[in-house]
Amino acid sequence: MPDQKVAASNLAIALLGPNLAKHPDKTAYICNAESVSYQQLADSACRFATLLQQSAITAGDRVLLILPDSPVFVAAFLGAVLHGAVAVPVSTALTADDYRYILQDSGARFLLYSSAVPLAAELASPALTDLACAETLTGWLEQYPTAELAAPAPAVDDLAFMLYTSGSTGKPKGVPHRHRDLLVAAEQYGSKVLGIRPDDLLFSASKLFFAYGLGNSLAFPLYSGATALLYPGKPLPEELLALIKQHHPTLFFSVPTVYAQIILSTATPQLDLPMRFCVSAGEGLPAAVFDEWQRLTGLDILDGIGTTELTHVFISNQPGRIRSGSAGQAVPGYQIRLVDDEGNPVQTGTPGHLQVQGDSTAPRYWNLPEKTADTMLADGFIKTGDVFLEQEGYYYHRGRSDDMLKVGGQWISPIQVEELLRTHPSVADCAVASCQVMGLMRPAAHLMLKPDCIADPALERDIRRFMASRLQDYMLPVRYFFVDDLPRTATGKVQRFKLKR
Amino acid sequence: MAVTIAELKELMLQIGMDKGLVAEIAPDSPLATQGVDSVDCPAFAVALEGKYNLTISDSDSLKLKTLNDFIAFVERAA
Repeated sequence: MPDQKVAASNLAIALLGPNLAKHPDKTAYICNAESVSYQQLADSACRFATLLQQSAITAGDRVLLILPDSPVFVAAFLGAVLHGAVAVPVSTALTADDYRYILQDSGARFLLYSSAVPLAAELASPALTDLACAETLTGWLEQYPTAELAAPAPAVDDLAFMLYTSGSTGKPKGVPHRHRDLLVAAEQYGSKVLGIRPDDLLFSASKLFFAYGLGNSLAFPLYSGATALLYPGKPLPEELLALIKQHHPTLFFSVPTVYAQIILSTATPQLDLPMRFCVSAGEGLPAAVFDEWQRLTGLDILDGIGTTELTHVFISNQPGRIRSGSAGQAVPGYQIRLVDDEGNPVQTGTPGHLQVQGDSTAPRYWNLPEKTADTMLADGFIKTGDVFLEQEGYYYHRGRSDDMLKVGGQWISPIQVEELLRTHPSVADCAVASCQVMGLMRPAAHLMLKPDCIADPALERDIRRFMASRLQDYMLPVRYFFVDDLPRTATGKVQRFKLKR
Repeated sequence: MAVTIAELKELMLQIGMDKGLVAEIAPDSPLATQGVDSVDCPAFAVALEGKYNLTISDSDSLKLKTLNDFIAFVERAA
């Protein structure tokens, strides 16, 4: 299947069609106690498309999906795409404000949500058709007729799905993608770099609502006629290891924070994981994590870097050509350039701003023309905001050119964390910047206290608890510094880059 | 430098970890299997560096799995 054309057909048809022709009864997904064949998956996708049609959802309408990883997620995503709608999968752990913002910004007219996400149910309104569901595909929507898998070929710029990622202002920003974008990623990275085969069993600890997980657990296994293992729960080390022991996946995808947590949870000197290799993206993989994982398991981790805008990984280490501490080489089909502040190419060995061009690039941001004009350049390259240097064709991460933080594979805008810190009764002003702990980037809070407040362990403990009860875990500062002043420009703007440690 | 389990547990409480969780931590089992998550782990490592004025390298940080490992590390570094 890797030789199929990636540009011409509906994404759902391209992913399901060849599998139905070749092996309709093969298991496509395993999740909890359920195994789902390609035929069952296609039938459910068709039923969901029929439901959308009967709900007066038309081509181009957005369909919001608030679902944990499960075969229902995959069937609904493919069904929406099959119908010509735009699937908008979002995290199951957002705040009520973020859900409302995304609903309004996307203009979604249909919502499918898990009954395990109570905040999603609160989005109901007369303008929105909504439906709750469980995680089991068997029996889902059986009252609707299935149909032969068919859809008109999309126009080249028709959208198939949209993902939301954290923006620098703290508000999520929509990144829409065309039908071909996931197929390009599956061909260029999944097939050409990872060499995914029909006999592979893929398991991703990163969820389907992230671009990384959407490739790992939806596009790559379906494109290659393989099978994927899904886990709806939180990716804690013990649960992940139990699933690996039970199902024996051949490829495991995760982020460095999770690899580090698995290492730290392992008391034995060796960890037997019979698989081909492991994959990491989402944040830079520290050399120490790579080395310790290799010592513990005997397995390589292929580290790479991708972005939601490019759909998936565009720089990666390759089997047999790994350099520890490097993000690797350009993935086939992607052009990489490093430029200085004026946009001129830098010399090899000199840090520069990373810009990337490839056929899986999002055409624009959603409702953000200024951001689009600033980030997506006329020659097809996109500014990533990362600083890299290149040596012998290998790329090494050297930081960010803005204030954004990438923690556990997820973006954090410092503004989000700072706004909450300022609501604490003892905090007069603050800034949040990155610090390195255990080789990984983490948020650190620099706090100016109000008069009469004393910087002591009791206050730090109080602020930590205040934050922990209001923010998602990955956003929580791990270090707190009490300072008399913050570095500022002449106009009073805080210079967060001076606080990076 | 002699370091006790109680001192390390007090440090955990200072970074806001749950009192009940800290009380139950066994010193010879990995913290990551006892509810100490990917936020608590680095926060504890940072607090330890500050209290005992030492630096934990990236590779050492992946070998410090239990409270007993941390005690041995601090005593070695002193």
